[in-house]
Amino acid sequence: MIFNIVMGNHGDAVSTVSLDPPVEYLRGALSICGHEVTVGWETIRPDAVNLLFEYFVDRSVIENIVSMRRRSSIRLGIVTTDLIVQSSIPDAEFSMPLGANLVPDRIQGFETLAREVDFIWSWLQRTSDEARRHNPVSEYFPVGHVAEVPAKLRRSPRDIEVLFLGMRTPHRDRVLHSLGSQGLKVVPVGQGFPTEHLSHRMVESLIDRSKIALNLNLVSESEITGVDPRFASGMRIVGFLERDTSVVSEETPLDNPYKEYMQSAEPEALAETCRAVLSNDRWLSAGRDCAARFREAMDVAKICGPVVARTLAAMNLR
Amino acid sequence: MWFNIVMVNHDETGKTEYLDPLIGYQRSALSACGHEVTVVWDDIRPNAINLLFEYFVLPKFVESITSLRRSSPIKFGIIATELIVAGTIPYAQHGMPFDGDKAAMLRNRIAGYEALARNVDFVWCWLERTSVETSQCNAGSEFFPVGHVVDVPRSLRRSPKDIDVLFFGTRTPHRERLIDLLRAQGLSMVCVGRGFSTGFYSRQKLLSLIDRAKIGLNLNLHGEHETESGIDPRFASCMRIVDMLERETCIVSEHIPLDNPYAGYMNCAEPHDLAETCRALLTGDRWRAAGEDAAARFRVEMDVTKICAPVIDRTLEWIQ
Repeated sequence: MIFNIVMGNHGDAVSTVSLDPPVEYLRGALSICGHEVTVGWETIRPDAVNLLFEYFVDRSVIENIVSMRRRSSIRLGIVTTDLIVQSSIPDAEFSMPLGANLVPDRIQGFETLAREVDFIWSWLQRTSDEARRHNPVSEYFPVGHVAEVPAKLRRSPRDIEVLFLGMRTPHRDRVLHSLGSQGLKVVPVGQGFPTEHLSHRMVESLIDRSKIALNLNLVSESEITGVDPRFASGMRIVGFLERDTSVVSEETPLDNPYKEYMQSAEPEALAETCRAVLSNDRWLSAGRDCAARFREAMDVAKICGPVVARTLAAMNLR
Repeated sequence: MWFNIVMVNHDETGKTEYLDPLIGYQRSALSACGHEVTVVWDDIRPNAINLLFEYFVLPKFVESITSLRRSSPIKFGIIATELIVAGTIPYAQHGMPFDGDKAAMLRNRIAGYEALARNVDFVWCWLERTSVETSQCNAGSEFFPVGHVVDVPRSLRRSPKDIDVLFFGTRTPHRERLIDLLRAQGLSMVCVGRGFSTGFYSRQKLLSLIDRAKIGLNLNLHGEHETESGIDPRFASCMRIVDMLERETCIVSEHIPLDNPYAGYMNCAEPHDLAETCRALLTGDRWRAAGEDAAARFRVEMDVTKICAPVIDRTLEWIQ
């Protein structure tokens, strides 16, 4: 089968550069599962299953897709990467301060199109459950192992104790401050920190220099008033695991298939966990061991192959 | 040895993905040769060999590195990726789009390069002629070829092969003439890049096009005599060609007599014969075997551990 990833609903062409990592993952995953894949801007292919990454805020785009579906037999699926629960994006307030006002339109666009397309693949289990309210062919499509980066291509001095990648939020700030005050040297990079944006290659170099990569939730448990917005970011964590980096994470009770491959702890115990991993270079073996188990257990051919097969069967395209 | 790639001289562009393919090659080539590498914004390291990709348009930056060199034993090398000959970049007229006073930018760029080339420990040039030219400024000037680091497994790039001929690159008058000629001769082509109607293509979209193409076309930026300096501006664009070879794409190229270590892995022809060469390869799916065979030979003959490791060793010996 040919899958055609269409990016035209994501604003201007330059802004789609930030989507290269998820596009690369989806393309690699489908290809490994035996399918041909194309990546384009707006060309919908009648001979393919067309895939759109969720972000439907432009009404004319939505109307065009709805009208196309009604007048032709073109196959369409949606790929959702964010947490969408109870018609909301629970972490939007913290994770997309500039785009939070778009959430109502975005949800409306998603729900409209979710009913129209052939299927939905969600990278988070809860989003998949939510999407099933709109479309019976809603599947959880995990972010698993596609390709490791060979160790010989990423030789680096290991001169960073703890690396944190992600957006600055009050909760993360508190945890990072606490780790710093307990003597840990943390390098934070991301929106809101003094170092905000670096290219993919610079970020990869930072990961390869790190003994520990820290994974923190956007908010603390006590701050949660409605839907629990905590989830494990597949792209970030898999980015660490494919490079054998030891991951220390705050407990993430929901949407976290990576628990077995991280050292998890409550915020107040994170410093102690990091220190234990740093002592006697345990980070080195912990990282390699977790990565090896991740690659075995979460190989995409094993975990996504059946999802793709079930989806095609539901469309009578097997 | 530890090499530290510093990107600050590229201003904000250094933080974008624009230069990622170049950085990716340099980093993995050094790593494959057994060295540790870091990629940073402005963190110059006294205990590493600091590498700067050539683009020194700000006199202030040139002065800061010159002054740093005088006050400390910090090691520096330059990586020059462009063709820099006789104090010019011969294809700059059409091959280097620039918003602003291009002549002034070029003057500053060349002056900055020549000033720093005299001041650093060594210069690695991705093109042979640049290396020869630079050896006038720095005896530690070496040709550092762009070779094979890692191929992309077929299992990760399954694609329908539905594009006959792909061209990607900046639109220039010379290329436009050839593309028009090929189209007039009946070839079905997809052309993307700066100046073409498709506009900007992200890396993943471009890689998908390469994987869909039966033939990747390589064209010079300028014609042989199409320069004010009279210097032959033709050279093989390493990143483009290696991108295609690592993905087993069959390459048809305009004849490039200079700075072209890839002649053995491409199907070369004079402009008026390019359409015929493409047609011959498209017949009976010959493009497939030609692409796979050329890629296999490229990987063996131009493996970085074979062709770049001796360069690095000589450089390390030179700067001791």
